Amino acid sequence: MQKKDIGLGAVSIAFGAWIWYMAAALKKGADFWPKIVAGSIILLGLIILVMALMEVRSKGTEGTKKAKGNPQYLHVMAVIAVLIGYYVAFQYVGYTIPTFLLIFLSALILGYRNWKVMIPTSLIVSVGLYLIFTHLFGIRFPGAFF
Amino acid sequence: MMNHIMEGFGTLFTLWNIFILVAGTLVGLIIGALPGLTGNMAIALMVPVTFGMDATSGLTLLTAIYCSSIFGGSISAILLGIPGTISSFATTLDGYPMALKGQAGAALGNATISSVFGGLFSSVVLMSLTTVLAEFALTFGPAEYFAVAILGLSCIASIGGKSLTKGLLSGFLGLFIACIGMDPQLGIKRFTFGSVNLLGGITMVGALIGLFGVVSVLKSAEKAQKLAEKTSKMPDVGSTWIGWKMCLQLLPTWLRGSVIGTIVGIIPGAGTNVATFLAYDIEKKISKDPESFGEGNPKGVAAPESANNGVTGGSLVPLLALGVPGNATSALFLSALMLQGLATGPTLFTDHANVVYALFLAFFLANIIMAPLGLFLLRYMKTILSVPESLLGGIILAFCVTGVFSISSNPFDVLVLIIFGVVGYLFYKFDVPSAPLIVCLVLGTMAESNLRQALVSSGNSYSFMWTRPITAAVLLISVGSFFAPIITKMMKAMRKRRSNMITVDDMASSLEEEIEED
Repeated sequence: MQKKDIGLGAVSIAFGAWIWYMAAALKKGADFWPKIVAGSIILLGLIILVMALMEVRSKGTEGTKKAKGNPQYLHVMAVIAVLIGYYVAFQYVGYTIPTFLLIFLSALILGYRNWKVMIPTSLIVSVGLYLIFTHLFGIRFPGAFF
Repeated sequence: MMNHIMEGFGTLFTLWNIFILVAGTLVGLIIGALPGLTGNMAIALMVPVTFGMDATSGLTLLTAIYCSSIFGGSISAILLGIPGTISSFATTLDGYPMALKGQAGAALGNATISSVFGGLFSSVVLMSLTTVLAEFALTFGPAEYFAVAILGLSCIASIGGKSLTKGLLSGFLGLFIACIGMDPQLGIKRFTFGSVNLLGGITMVGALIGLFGVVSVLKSAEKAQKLAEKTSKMPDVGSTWIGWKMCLQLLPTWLRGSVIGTIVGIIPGAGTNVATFLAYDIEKKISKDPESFGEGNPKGVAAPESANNGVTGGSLVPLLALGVPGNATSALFLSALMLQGLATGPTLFTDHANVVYALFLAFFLANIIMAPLGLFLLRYMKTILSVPESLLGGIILAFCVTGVFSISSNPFDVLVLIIFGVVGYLFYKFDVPSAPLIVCLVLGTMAESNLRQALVSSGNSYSFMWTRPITAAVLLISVGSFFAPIITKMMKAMRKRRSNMITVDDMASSLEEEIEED
């Protein structure tokens, strides 16, 4: 908990400083609001950092809050990777095939294993969404195929 | 006003709009009932769909989803003991014990009628109060609007969760994101990094869907193993009609819950959580039999259910009258209005009165439709609730990317969605609340541009903050609204230390933690 807050505080200070640096290069007037925001982020980061360090000093580095289960970060990263892959693929390949794969692979990563349900569901949803959005809402999707 | 109501009738009553009202209510009920999927997520997913509709149909769809998803949350709260939405935490306390005693049908019927009562009550308040407030706001200038924006921003102290510093940090990050794009006064580029896609700022809908939709799937991914093993046992529903005698007995509870819900809803930042637990707590305190609460007392279901649907109408009062969203849901409504090219605030009532009154009527009708539809759908809820979360994840992602892309047919918006999904997940891991970011992202430009305009008209003097009476009054209320939850928290902590009592907040946070664990 404290370790996380130390990291959060440090990143906030660095991020606030970066906003300030970028805002300083802006024309007078346009920098007014971003500088208020940057200053506040730095200040809040500083408060979070100092409070976390004080907590470490008084309680040690042991976590004070119980961990939220055993998070499977590999699964989280896999979903993000699938989304990024989808973002690249749907611009070149088209809508339906990447969307089918997005639904199918996500269900797979989330632990669903009933193939007889997964394949038809992925197919129906991807083709259904394509038909609804192209014919009902007049949306044109990018890519070579439909 | 009667003319406007008739105009609203004329705009709303088309076959297409009625179909949308029924379909929206159905979608909201199902999504609200599914644990892990929230009403906000359903609204966020549907915002891009409204882009392809006219303003009345789009807002009707969102209204129907909003009202019914709040009620839908109580279905899983009663049948599974897992609230489908945050607003159904309190319903679990008595609803689930009722289901375990074989009274699942009665508990569900009670929740349905209580929700309808609360929703109808708040619709009436929404219609009458918003009109008065909007008329008053017609005299507002930049100074007053700046103060109103600050009032909206002041709610981040109460929606910021357990840590005020983290809530504020989230809010200021939202204000920074709102800075991206063109400067509202000078028209020069800010933080665009040479990208043409950022000239118009961050696509709000992409950001909101990322924060609601993608984050919910990433949260499911981190407990993938648990999801695969999860099997839920559900009691049989049986008859859902509670009888006229019970209705009469619950009437005072419904009235109290509705009043509490509507008032709390109007206060920016207070939200459904506060309303439901407050209504439950008051009901328990005034009851002749307080020990029966938590054991399956029907009033323990009626009070929070009438309160959480009471919040729905109340929460839209400041948004429609002043253009200030007091919570994440009204921020989503604001983004839908912006997509339609409609400006919120008093001008909405003068320029698009038919749309506003159609929205009021849609609110009223959605609550009426909810009763028969809810009671009918409850019979099939066992089947709906057995759809595994692991299968739904991919479908949600498909809706997210398709919806976001459809707004401006720009693949960059999909990238915004993914980035905000990751940011939202990191927020979750670092215990930083995302609600303040959303409110500040929405209000940032309004606050900045009105402050700078006010400064220009007062010759760069800040004196307008205390010389203009409305501005000074609203700013004073903002200070109060910001510090009130902090002071209340401190007082509760002191009282708790003295008497070891369990507060409403404790109940809410302990339940929140239990659900996180689940």
